[in-house]
Amino acid sequence: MATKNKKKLKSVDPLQRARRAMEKEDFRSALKEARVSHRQAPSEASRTLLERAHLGRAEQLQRLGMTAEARGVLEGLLALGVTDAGVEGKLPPILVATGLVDRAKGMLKAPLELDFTLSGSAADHAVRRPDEAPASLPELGRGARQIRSALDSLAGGDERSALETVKDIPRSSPFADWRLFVRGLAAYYRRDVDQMRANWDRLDPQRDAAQIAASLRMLAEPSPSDRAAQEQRRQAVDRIERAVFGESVAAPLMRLQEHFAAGRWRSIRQAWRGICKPLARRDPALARRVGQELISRAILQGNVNLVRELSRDAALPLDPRGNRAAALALRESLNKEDEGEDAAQARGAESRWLEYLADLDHVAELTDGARAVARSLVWVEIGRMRSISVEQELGRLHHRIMSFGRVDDDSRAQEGRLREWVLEAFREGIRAAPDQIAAYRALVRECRAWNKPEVVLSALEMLLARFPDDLPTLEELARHHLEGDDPERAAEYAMRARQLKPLDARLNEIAYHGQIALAAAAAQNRQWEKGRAALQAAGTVAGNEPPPWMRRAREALFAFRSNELDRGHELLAQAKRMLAEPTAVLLLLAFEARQWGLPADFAAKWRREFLAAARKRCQSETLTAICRAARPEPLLPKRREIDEELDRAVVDYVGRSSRIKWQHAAFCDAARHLIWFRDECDPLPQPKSLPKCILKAVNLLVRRGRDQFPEEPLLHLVEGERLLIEPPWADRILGGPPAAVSYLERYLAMTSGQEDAVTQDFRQRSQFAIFYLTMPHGLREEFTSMVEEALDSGGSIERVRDAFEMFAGAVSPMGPPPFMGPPHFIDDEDFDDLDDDEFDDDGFGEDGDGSEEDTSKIDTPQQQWRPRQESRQSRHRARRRRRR
Amino acid sequence: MDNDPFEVLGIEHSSDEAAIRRRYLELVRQFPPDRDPERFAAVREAYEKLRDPATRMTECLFHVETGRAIERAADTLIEQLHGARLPTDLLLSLAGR
Repeated sequence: MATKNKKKLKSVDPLQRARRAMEKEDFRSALKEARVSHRQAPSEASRTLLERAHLGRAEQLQRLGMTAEARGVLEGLLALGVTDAGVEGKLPPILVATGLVDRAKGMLKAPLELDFTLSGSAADHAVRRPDEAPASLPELGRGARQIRSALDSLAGGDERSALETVKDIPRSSPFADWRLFVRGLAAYYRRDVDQMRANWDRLDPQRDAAQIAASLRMLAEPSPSDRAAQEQRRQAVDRIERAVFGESVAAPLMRLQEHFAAGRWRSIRQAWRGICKPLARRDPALARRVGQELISRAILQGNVNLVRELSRDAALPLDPRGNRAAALALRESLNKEDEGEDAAQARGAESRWLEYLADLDHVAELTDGARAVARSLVWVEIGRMRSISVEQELGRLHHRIMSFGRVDDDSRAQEGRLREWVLEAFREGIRAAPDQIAAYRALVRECRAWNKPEVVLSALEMLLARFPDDLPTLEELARHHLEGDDPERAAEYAMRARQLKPLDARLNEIAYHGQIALAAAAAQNRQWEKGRAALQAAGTVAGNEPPPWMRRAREALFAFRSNELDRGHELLAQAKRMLAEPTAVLLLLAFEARQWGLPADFAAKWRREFLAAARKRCQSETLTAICRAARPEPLLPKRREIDEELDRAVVDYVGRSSRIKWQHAAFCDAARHLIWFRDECDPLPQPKSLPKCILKAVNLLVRRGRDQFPEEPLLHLVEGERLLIEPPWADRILGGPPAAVSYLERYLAMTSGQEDAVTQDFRQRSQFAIFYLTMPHGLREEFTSMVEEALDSGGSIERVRDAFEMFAGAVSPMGPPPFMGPPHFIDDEDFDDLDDDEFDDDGFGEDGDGSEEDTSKIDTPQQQWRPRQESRQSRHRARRRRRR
Repeated sequence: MDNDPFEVLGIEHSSDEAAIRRRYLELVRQFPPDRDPERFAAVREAYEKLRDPATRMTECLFHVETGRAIERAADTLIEQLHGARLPTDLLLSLAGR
């Protein structure tokens, strides 16, 4: 089509073509065609057209700033001779502007000096090209030299001389505009924007000075907000940069910014490729920063390919081959891709990090020390990546194991191998920089995820050997030994931690419990001196917890145990005097007598006295003290077991306390005790009929909480508890427990960030309850029977909770080993090989309870509550009957 | 306000401890807490992140922060242009373009 048009056009007469080009303002072609036309067939029309084409082309070149070229065209026109009146009328201004003043003078009706526009134009040309100033107008040459001298002075930084030079130029002079320009330029250089504006605002926009000023103002004025003005600014910057440096960088950078705002990644890539090298030549530090920013944005996009391309164009000193950036982009994409892809992404990231470890040897900017730190940190990151893939693998397998309920010894080895693979990365990190704590901490975290206390312990001890004053490690070790029934070591670590931060309430509490645990253990072993020393040390630990009467009562317990009966009675009397009624003291003694190794008759006596005292009329202070004594204390050497008689009496007392004033502490402790009591009765938060006293107490707590302590997080736990235990359940619980779960979730949200042991304990309970209540119905049934089975064979609630955490794929806190034991990893082939006959309908082996269940023996919402011990025995009997 | 501590302090990633401390003191003198508390807090926070070699290396290796580096780079270049004294012929060549 285009070829056809060209042929058609060639066949047309050159005069026609010249006319068409003139119409299109294509003066270059028009001039060419007009010359051909006039040479081939000279006529008046062709001559007129030729003259007009000359004029049009000269004006066009002048507009483009190509004065010399315009002048050449005009000289050609003048040599040809001007016959057209229209052309002749328009010639003088362009002749003057291009420096052909003498030739223009002949065409002017009045002297040049009287035409302000023409004389200004002549002055502008003279300033630009002083050598072309007409000899007939010497004042033009003088003025131009004056202005150029002022401009030279400013370029040399001599503002005073510049201003002095232009001072005498009168307002009527064609150089008056240049005087304003010089003044404005001086202000521009000294960054006085107001003065600059004051001078340059008065410039004639048609004159050269105004055009130069307009460009410079773009650099001095703040960045405009509207798009058109921004484009103008960019063009001005581009023009000046090209004039000054011969290439433009700032303007393309401004365009790059626009691409970012619009998210045009392909354009960003192209724009960066064009400017990265010029920018690095101009300012290497700036180029590095921009490169870093671009790569960071690509990383956050998770765009590995873009990261690679950008890194190729401008490698960062710390990341010469872009492996670090690619690994980070892969890590970023972990959260964006499908979860199933995470393991593959993590493996990809690991291989990138391994390559980066090799790159680190060639990073000249790093000192040896910094290189070692970098290596250590990279290994820690590799460990994290490995941990992600292992957790996903384990989570998938745990789920399958849950479906088939089979765990065998091979699983232990397989999980061990996987976990060791993760731990090895952290150990490499430690080897790379033994003085960096980050790798040790990562190792400890990973060991916790394994849920193997002995592994955690050895990791913690390794950390402490290198960093003996690491407070979190000391605290964790103290807690670990308290829970692991090693009071001596617990006390040692707790006291070391406390020495580092003597006023910390949490550390003081741990230190106190450590010493009390030590004293109780010494009392049991008849090591009186050791016990007394521990008690004395406990007495030196400051803090409000536990209250003084509890401290005194424990001293009394030790005194009775060490056969110092008089001292024991004296201390007991002191403890009782600290309260309005002795009820709470008696309760504490009854609870802890066995722990301190006292004979059963002591405990029985205090038990009787407490039960008698608890039947009296309720009092506010007694309620507070009783609830405190009954509070399940996670820091005690051994978490106390439920004492049905005493705990029930406490619950009963709480339920009767409807007409007394409640303290906030009493409300909190009563709530904790009730929830703990219920948990101990049945570790599964399933709908169940419980004694009336529990329901009464829970209802009272809900009422009190709503009235007096609406902001207390524990109120939400109690509300949730009420939904679980108050009949009828079917409407609210079975088939979905949304209300109870939302209360538990609110509790978790309100207590997030609270690190005290008691709150942590209840947070774990709540997480466990939510997990259980939100399980699919069928799976919940299966779990329930598995857990009951485990409890029947002597499991504890902690073990049950750990088992659930393990199944949920959650990271468990350091505690006892998992209830189910390590899972068996079943490959897909193993699934194919499974013989259906090996399993019953419910998926359990023949040793399981897959046989027809005697439903009358299973706890159901309709069944009445019994203490767990009793229920456990009856279930054992039922199982024996079935086996027979 | 930028979150990248290197950007906040206006230093290179390769700066050593002494250079970081020098720059921090310079900025604290420039933005004392009583006169510009917000800026001071930002400077302080950035310095805390960078003063320890391990934390600094963690920032360098793993922290991905985007700021206004491109905008700033363009501004810096424009500022450089603004500061440049233009020779007369070069200045006059800007006319009529």
